[in-house]
Amino acid sequence: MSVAGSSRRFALAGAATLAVLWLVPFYYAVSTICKSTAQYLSGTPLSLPPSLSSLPGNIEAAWAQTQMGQGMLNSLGYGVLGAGGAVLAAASAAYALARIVFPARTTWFMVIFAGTVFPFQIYLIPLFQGYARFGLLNTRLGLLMAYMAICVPFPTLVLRNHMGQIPRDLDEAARMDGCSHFRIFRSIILPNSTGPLIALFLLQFTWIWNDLIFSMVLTTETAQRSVMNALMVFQGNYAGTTPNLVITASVLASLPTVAVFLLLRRYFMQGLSLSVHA
Amino acid sequence: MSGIPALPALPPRGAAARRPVRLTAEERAVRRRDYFSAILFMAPALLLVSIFLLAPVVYNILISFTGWSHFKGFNRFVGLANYRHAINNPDFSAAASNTVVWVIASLVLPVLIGLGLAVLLRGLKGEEFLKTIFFLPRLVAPTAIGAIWYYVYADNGVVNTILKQVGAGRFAESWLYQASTATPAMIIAYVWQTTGLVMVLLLLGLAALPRDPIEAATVEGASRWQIFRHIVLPMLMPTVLVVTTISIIAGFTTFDLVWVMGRDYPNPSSLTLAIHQYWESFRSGHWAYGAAIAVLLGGIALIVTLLQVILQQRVESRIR
Amino acid sequence: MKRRDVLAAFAAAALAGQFRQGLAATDLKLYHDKYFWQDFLKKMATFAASKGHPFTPTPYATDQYQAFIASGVQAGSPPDMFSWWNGTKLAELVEANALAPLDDVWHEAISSGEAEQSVADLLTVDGHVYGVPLTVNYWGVAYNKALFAKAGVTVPTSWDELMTISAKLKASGITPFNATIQDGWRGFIWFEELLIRTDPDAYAQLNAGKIGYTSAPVKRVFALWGELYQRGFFTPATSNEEFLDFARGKAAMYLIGDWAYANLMQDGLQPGKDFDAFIMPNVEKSLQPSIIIEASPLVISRAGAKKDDVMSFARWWMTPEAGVAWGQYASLNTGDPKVPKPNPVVASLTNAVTATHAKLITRYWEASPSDIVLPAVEQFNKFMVNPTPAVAEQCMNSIEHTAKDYWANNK
Repeated sequence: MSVAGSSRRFALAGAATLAVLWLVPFYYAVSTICKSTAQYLSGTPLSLPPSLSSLPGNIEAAWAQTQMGQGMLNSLGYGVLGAGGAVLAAASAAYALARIVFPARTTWFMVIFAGTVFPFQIYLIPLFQGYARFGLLNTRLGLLMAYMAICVPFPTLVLRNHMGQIPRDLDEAARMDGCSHFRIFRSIILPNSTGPLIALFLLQFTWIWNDLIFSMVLTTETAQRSVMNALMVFQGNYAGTTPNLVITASVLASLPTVAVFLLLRRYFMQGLSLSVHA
Repeated sequence: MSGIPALPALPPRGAAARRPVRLTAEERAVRRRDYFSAILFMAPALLLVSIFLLAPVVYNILISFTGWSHFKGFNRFVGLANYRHAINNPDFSAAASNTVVWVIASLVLPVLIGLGLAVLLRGLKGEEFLKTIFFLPRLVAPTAIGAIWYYVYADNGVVNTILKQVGAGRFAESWLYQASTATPAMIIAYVWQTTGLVMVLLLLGLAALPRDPIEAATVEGASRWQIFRHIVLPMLMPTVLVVTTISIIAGFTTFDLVWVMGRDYPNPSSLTLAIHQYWESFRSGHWAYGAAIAVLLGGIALIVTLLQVILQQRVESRIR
Repeated sequence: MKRRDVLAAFAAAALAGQFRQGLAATDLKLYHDKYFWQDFLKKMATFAASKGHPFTPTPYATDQYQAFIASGVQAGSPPDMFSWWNGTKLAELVEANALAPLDDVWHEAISSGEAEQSVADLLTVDGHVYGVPLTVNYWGVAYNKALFAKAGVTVPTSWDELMTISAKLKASGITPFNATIQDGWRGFIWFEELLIRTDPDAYAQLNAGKIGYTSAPVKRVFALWGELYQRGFFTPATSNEEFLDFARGKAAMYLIGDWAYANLMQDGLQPGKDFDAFIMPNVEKSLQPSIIIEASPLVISRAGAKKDDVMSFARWWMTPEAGVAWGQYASLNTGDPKVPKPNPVVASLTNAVTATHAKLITRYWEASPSDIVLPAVEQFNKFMVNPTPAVAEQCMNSIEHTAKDYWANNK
């Protein structure tokens, strides 16, 4: 046992070292956002900031120059409406697939699920060209619809599996009483699925919040672009940007999803396990 | 995280199999109504998916066989010319070989480190704390991570400063500008970001394993390594496979991180296939060629997913 | 439960309302890809609105801008008004039947002395003038006066002198030239310059596909370029703060369009006092003086030309009232003869061009087909990061491959 114990201590030391290494970029980010531009440029990147006094100024400048308020509002809209709409559409489809008997269910399911088989790259050109033709380019509606569609297939899969496991006695009794499918869906199946619904919503919300490529391709104007797009433009627009401001903007843009994670950790973990065990 | 899960297990067929032989008129009416309701319930999902995902896939495949002109659009059928152009394009070859490096590294490193950490951290005193540290980067958006690491690798950035401080200044490098260092540098940032997720997924898999065989083997005096190698790993295989598939597909379609860190690269088009596809279409206006690259990427994703399904079935049948 | 539903419905409705607002913008948008001008354009928009010509400057990421316009043209609905380039780039749009000619507007302006024929010529394709000038820019060599004084050198009048002062600057610890690959498009600047300084005929032939990228004149340029790198005459190509680098005195000379002077001023240099500009001397002494010129027009699409507010805006843009304001805000040469030069450096460069009768040569970006320029720039970038003969060879071969392909399909 002592041999195993020492090898375990050795391994633990290794894990701890790795953990410290893992924290270096965070340390760099946190120390950088506390430095003024002059402090950053004159010191070494890893030096400690002399005080926290530059932080408010950095936040203010990064917020204003990125037009982050607009970006966050847009992303909030895309995330809430996109993930919400997608999860609802998925739940409704999953209800049909799991609780109604009808021909060729698997085929219908495969049609919806086919949307996850392809890498995103295959959608970019058609969406861009199609949107240009139908006037959806650079509109919030266009980007929202794309997000919503992308977020439908996976929740459909998860919810279909989940709804298939809800005992059938419940809705069969309700059907005997003459309840419509909608009533059963609304008052029996949905309330029994809140856990996965929340988990899936969070998963898709985070994905939409973090997405860059669709926002880059489908919206490039300040009024419609997402927060990540705003960050990307700011980082690439070198005139007037300095590392401390770009990193402040990066941290700001990431805070909402980190906060959501910390608040709703349980659901997040559930969402993650869904993605493996589905 | 939206797409790229494992392919579904088929639904329980019990209900459908109980089909009665003969139906009364009333039963038939119920069935028709049920079919109609089912279509209604699926309609939003079907509409969204077919208009915004499936139709684009078809359109993308079609235009990959056409010729493009900068301002006139797709004008004529050119067969496989766009695909041939890819083969002759040095940027494509460079991007493809970098992508292979990406796939291998983003598969091997996170899964290996993640597996090691998962096994190591399980049941440890500081498990939750250490887990959080490794998972933390996953919470930060890839765009933000790219922006931070961009400065880590800058000429006066973290890496070069550390090198100079430890007296290895001659190894200082413009990391993101050189063909030999750009891809490894970005992969390190990527591994930093994804390992935590892989670890957590594997931990979830570990937690779901039955305890009995492990305890039985412990009683029989098997070493930790033997238990891991012959009992835990085979049982964990399905999870490892799913994680592997997710990692492969995520690895070769990673866009945001590479774009944010790599757009200063002299010819970004040669960085990875995902960037190549974006660059050729959206910067150079070579739409049809970009569509062809997207089809190639889709083909690879399809093959990887199919392989995973086949392997999954094998592994599962072996366990049972 | 009920109340939460109501609240959720309200929140959703509020968000949806917020969303719809974005769809409603109807005002005149001016699309452009020049982020570094957005502040100037905003000031201009305020001024224009006060004169009854409101517009919204709408910046677009440079790397997507051409694709954005191209897709609009393909779909038959390009923006009403957007910034573009002269030369081949303009001809490509005209050929796609996307633009409305503005011959009348120009005719009026020229006959009333508010516009110059020479500027109209820059924007003419097949006998018609397209767009109104956003800027007309000369590409001279800006130099840092303090650094010149420190090294005890003066403005060179020949290539040999340029080499001598560069060596002197270098010996005093000052890097002679500021050059980077920032933003991905800059790679062609020195290639083009060295080619017109050694063999301008070859430059024209190269752009027309008559000679290749592995020809002797191109090889000579790469050899010369590599030699300058070897002598340490250039700053590292990997900096992404090109304007700031020059403003901070990291290099003594800076070959760039005169539009950049506004940025140098923003970064703290005073025009005329801290920096001035000269025309790059020719390597071949027998050549007549010449300078690269770039014209950035604001073009009007066919649909845009049918709208009154667009056309009245275009007419207004040609007036001295607009020209003076724009020139002042952006410190740019607007190409309007009644507008005084925006800063002393642009003025001295313009005077030098007039005095030496310098030949105006279209920039590589606008002179060569886009399908060659874009991949070629990446190759030039590659060379600037690794300026070795081996990389030069690779670059020439790679561009030649692209160019051959292009000319085979587009003769």
